[in-house]
Amino acid sequence: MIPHKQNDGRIIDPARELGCIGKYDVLVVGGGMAGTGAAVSAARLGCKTMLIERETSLGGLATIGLVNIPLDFSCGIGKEMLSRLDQVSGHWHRNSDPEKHKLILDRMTKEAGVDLLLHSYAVDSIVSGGEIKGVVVESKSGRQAVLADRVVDSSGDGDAAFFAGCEYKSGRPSDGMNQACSLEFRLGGVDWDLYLESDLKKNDPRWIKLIEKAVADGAMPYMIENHLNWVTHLPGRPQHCKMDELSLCFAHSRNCRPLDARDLTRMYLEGREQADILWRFIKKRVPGFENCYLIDTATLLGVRESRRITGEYVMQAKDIAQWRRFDDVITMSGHGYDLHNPDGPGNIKWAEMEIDGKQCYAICHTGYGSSWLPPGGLDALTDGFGRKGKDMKFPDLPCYDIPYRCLVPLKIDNLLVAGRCLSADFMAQSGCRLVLACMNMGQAAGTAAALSLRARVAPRKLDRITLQNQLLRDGMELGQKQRRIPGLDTNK
Amino acid sequence: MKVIYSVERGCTHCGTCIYECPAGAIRITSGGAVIDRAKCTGCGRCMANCASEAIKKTVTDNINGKEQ
Repeated sequence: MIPHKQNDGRIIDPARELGCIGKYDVLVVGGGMAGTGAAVSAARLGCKTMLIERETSLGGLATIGLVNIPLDFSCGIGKEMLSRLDQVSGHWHRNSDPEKHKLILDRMTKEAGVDLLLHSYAVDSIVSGGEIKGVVVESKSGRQAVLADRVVDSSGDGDAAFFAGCEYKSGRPSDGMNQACSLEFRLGGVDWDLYLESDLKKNDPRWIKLIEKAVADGAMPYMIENHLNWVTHLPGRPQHCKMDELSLCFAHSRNCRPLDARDLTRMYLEGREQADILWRFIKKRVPGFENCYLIDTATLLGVRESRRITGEYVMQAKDIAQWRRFDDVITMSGHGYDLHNPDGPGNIKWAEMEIDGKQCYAICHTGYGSSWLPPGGLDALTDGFGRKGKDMKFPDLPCYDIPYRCLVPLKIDNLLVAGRCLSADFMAQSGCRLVLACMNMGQAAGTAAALSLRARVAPRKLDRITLQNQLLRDGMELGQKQRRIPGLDTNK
Repeated sequence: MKVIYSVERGCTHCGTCIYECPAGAIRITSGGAVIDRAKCTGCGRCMANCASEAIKKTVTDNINGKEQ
């Protein structure tokens, strides 16, 4: 109880002693894909591990956010997860069943021996002498502390790192605006086969012309988004009987402030209104969707970007366009710039940068189909080395490395970050934030936490070769098949 | 008889097939992913991992790749 002081109107939270849930080797904050990867890997390496999650199930956006499209490199724990989903018909075509996905993650954490605590918000960090010592959680059980020798912040928003006083950046450099947020929704009663064979799927697969027309003739009251971002086909449901279920990324909230509860509220309400508009428009205009109905909207808003915790290295936009490799690679990503426009429809798949003294608009690969074009249009685009038009060259295996240093925040020791709050600039983060990229970063962070404990060094000082060799033993791909990584056991 | 995988229209350039292909037979062009039939071993991992169901399997009995 907090006494209300009548006189000056201020409300003071008095100092109080907190109960302690326990002391752990590794505490993982946030049970999305990154957190699950971190907790499972740390626990498998013998650490007493706690995973706290504010929602009621694991998986975060990949499950309750209905982003059931686990893209990017499948390796390590991510690959194991996909094959377990395969066994229960919960995965096909890189589309997963969110419900089965939750259950698989529950089982994987349980089997690894992770102590899981759901429905618990991290509300503060416990710091002493430049080291994080634990986190304060708020739940139905009240406010309690969890102590740990290593903390992995996979909260998405970088909450634990923020509370610990880490430096961070948020939003685009010019005005701090964050990427657009999306509330995904599911449709049922779809004739998927008819849609796949339709002219629309063949000629306008991202519905660009369809949407243009709908806005012009009023079937869509305003331009919610100028293209369909993705549609997934839920596995293990009725199929080939005109009763397919799909999940769509279509709704978009712009001008968002995902660290503000008021604006989050606004976006949830707006997302549900948009889903209502969109599914009615889809039912009217898209072949195969004539009898479709809205199953649900996601219970978790798809926030693409908020705090990016400044680490030992900050991934640069140029690193992606130049497909840069790092000696301290802990995972790879193949996803180029994918910036959902903060203040208008469309995605931006190019980045403005200086290459050899020239101002360039670089793209990562030729897949910029639905992007807004820079001033000068198509002709202005270059590859990461400033080459234009037919001279543009892209590697056969277009992927770049995420270095370990991006998971190690400056200043605060014993803390690692994983997932979309990694240390990266605005454009670089727009690429390396996909479902499996986050899980891979999580596995690396959990492994680093465990190995640094074993070696009795701060994660910052952990020998990267020890870490990489362990990751390779655990099935991760670091690009060792394509190139020589100095010092590793399994160089080819 | 040879199994041939080809990318139909609808490719979203996500690149997943490239990473999944054990033969290094796929690359992205401005028109989407393209599978090199000479390198393709017919394992089908591209089709199984294509999130937009843009990859089609055809069975042919002649090496020119004519559909049966």
